[in-house]
Amino acid sequence: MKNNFALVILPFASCILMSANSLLSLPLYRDTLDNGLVILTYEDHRLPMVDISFTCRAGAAFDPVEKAGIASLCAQMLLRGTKSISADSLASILDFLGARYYSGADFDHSYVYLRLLAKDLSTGLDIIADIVLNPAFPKPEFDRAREEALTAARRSYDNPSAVVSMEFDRLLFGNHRYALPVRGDTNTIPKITIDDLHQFHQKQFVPNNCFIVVVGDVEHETIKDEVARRFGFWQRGMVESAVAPAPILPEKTKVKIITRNDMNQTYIQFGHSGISALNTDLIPVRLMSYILGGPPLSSRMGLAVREYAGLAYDVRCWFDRRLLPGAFRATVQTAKPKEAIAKMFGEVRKMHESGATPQELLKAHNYFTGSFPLTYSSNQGKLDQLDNLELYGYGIDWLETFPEKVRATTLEQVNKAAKEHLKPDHYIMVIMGNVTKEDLSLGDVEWIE
Amino acid sequence: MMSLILLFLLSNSLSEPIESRIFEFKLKNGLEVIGYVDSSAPVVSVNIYYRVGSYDEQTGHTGISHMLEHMTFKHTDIYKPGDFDRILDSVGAFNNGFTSTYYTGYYEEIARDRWELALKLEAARMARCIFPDSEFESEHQVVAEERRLWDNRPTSTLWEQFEAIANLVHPHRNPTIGWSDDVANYTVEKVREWYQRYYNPANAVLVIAGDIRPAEVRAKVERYFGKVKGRPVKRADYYNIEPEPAGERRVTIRKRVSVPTLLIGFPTPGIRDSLYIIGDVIASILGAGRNSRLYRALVLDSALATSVSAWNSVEKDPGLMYFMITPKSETLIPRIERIVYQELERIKNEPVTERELTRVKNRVIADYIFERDDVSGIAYLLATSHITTGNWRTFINQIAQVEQATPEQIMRFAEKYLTENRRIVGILVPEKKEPK
Repeated sequence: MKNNFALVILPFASCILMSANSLLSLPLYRDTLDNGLVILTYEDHRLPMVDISFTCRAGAAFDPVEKAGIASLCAQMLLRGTKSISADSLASILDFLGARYYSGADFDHSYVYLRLLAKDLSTGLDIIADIVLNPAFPKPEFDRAREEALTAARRSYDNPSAVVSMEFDRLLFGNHRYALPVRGDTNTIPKITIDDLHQFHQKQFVPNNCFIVVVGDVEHETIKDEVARRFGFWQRGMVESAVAPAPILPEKTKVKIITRNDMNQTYIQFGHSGISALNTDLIPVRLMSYILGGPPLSSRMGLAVREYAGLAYDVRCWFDRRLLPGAFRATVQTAKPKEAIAKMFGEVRKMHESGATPQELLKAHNYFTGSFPLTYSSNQGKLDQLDNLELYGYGIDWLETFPEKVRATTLEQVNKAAKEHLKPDHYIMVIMGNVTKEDLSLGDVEWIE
Repeated sequence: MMSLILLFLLSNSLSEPIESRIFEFKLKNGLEVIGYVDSSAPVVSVNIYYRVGSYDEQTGHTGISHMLEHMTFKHTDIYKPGDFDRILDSVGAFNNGFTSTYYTGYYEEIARDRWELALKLEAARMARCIFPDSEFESEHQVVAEERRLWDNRPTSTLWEQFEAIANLVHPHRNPTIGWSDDVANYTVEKVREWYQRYYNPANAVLVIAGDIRPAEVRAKVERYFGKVKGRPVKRADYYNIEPEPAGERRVTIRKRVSVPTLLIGFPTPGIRDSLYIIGDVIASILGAGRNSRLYRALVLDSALATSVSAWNSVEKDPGLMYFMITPKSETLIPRIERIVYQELERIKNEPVTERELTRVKNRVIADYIFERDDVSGIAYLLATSHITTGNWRTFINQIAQVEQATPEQIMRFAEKYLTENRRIVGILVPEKKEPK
């Protein structure tokens, strides 16, 4: 099977590895090829397996709004055939190896993931290199993938939570790409062409805009050499930034009701513009939103809405983690919307005005620092953490420094974050269910018809 | 007998077969304890599973095991509502509970120097819960809201109705969350009764996985659970209760949906049948991935559907093999069904190819390695395997059984179980628009 790839691996081009071998206590290494491709390797020899992810730092945020869905479709199509191997053959090889694999995109990145037995590492790297460097975007596969994306877009309208969330995004982000789902919608997907995918791939998939993460039963030196051999010749390209959404702050809360008489519960989402994942307030904001609306059984919102009043099964709030500022969102599903909204509004206002208590912050410190090692005890967890630290530029020592950064965050910083980043009375709000304006008693708000 | 390739994998960097990392013992009160040693990360997963779930429920109080699960997070003689989460959050532990057909489980994933805390909390949950009326009322409303989430998802309605027609009498017909009317009528007395009947060491399995030492585990488990009184629970056995189907059953549901869903099922044998694992092999050949027969026939060749998947769901009693298909439109459903049934005939009459069979076997062997990536994952496999089959080794033995599967067994299985009379069909399609 390996021979299938002999033709597609381009000749080895010598390259300088700007090695930044780990000074950490962890077997974690970060290397950079002279073309800018970053390689992160985490050696973990417990099991004879390896996880590989290839990430391009361009996702749906780069789509033109009228053709939303290009990045997502491009990522899907990476696994649908290359210039030398068909989609069927690719799937046949991977399935025969017992591999797990998928590709996709988010607003911030496009990725391919592959898990296989360590003995198949070489084949896995061959496949990753081929699909990233030589995608063919064959027409029959493109037509099929676009139809699948359309079906998924249509199906999302059958899910009340998705409908509310999509409407919230549309109202909050206006003409920005964030207004539409990553995969696009039923208006934009049909407009996407194969040429769009070629252009996106050609422009964004350049080595200085990409990184590869390898975790598992591997040796750092081997990975460094094997990746360099397959990607060293790859030519640098221009890298651009996506355009951030303009923050909006309505003078008073704007509310839209979507009437659905067939539902026995009301679905609600409200919030406002958020912050970038690169914001220096990120950790104070994460601690604050955890206290406000993290775990439904112990956060302030959870206690008020679920535990004390029995108004909902799930209630929470969070700030999107995106390179460009996303949203602050709060959600609930309830048969008693008036009561639930009043309590949630009250908790946001209280946090904004009075902040957290020392006891709450201590608990949040303990939760974040105590649970952090659990998130990367598995290979999959390590891969996820390494993807994030590279994508958001947290630094190679993030696994070791994050707990320190959390512990160093003061109550003053958390309360300042609450004051600055929560904006009560300036919400966008979407409500879907068998309700009317009169049922909700929302007071002085602007209704969106 | 394991094949050479499996033996090779087991002797590679795993160092030794999985069994050598597992130890077990039983307390005098009947609590069964299984440990799995993996010291590669400073993490321990503590899991306690009770032999109670929707399998044990009768009409009138379906979902009561799930209601009880919610209530066990509330109040014990020493812990107040919210304490479980407050205490575990404050040490950075992940925890949750869940209810299934055959079991109710709770877990804590926690740092290795704190895992004793999980035992302390679980021992309190096992024996010292109290259920004040006032706390029951608000949690009852929470569960009612959880049930409403189910009502508002059309695919959930399809699943619920499908299982109900697939099982005339077997408890598999009841949703784990309970039927709406039953959920509305729970009483705190019933919750107390359910707790008294099912929560005790003789009806539980404790699985601890991660950076642990057997002697330490034994001492700590004895300390927290040793004095709890065990009361063996005789569980009803419904293994053979479901009558042989006498003909096809079919339900068509019209809801406010944009995309149709086609669900086809066939009753398949439970774990007491030596061939039961063959159902997994057939489902994989027919519907797992791009190279599966139904994906090729329905998505690639005829372009009638946009997705296909298949799986065989058997935990203990006879279950179902499912085929789930997204038709491109409602009108194509009859053609899709015909193609599915043609493929089923083909698998009865023609031996599967060696490559198809090897693909399935390789996948199972690789999964055997992959599933050990996470100690919580391995704990789940040990616990569920032990609860549903009475032996945690079952999930390991299943790998060897798949390894030995033959084309002849596959034909025999399909001939016996994948027949027209045993077919269940569920269809979810958009509501018809009323003419103006």
